[in-house]
Amino acid sequence: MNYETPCVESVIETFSSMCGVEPEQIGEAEELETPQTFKTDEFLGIIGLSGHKKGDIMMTMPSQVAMKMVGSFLMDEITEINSDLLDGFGEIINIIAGAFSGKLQGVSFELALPTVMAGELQIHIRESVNCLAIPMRFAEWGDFKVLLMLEE
Amino acid sequence: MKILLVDDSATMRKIQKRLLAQIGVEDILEANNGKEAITELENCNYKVDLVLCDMNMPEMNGIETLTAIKATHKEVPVVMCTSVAEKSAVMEAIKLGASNYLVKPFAQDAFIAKIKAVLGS
Repeated sequence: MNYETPCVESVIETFSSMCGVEPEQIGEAEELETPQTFKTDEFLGIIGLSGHKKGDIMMTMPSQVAMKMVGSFLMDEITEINSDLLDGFGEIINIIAGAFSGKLQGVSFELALPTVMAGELQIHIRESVNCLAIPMRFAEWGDFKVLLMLEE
Repeated sequence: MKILLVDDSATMRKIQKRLLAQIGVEDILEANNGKEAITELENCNYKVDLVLCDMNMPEMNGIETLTAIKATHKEVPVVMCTSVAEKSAVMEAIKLGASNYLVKPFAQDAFIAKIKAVLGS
């Protein structure tokens, strides 16, 4: 099953509808070798998937990009890391995951509640997980990355 | 016109408040979860014209919240706010008496049009 296309479409549609910006994929998705430790940017949103397969969708970006993105979502300016930024980031990853699941024919995922972390982190990706790292860009604000991790 | 927003995301409530302000709805109650929503409805001394309720919430999910609201405030229209992934939950919500549903991600125009349609204006 092709998971990359519905994932990218979900990201683009979410930002187009909710933020009025259209990000683009800026390179081929990279299938990360596992196990490995992945270094995130300053902001990370993660939401667990279950049902069809267990896994996670993660989105990571520099804090300046996150502030612009969530500010656009909120129709307000965000200039510091605060509860609006964390909550908004989580809501966006929640919407993306819901849209992703809805695009898959014949299968569905249940969504966990999203978690958002600030600060560069080292994420350990287990050997039994297929991990796709998709590089994306907001022309207005900068680059970010979406990681789709599904158990084999 | 009074609307109760039920969503564990303060951000989503803020967005909805701003969109509702565009159509002149300024009298808005907020609840962080289903339990708070029930308390708000029981304690308020005035008519709530619409409840906008998220589906994916901790403690009481949207379906549980809708069921509790309809048990005591059957006349209040409830619009469920859901993600595309929750199709079966949407069908269940309609059976339980939800008036309509909004699918996230939603465009601002679509949000306003649906709320206007439910409010009949």
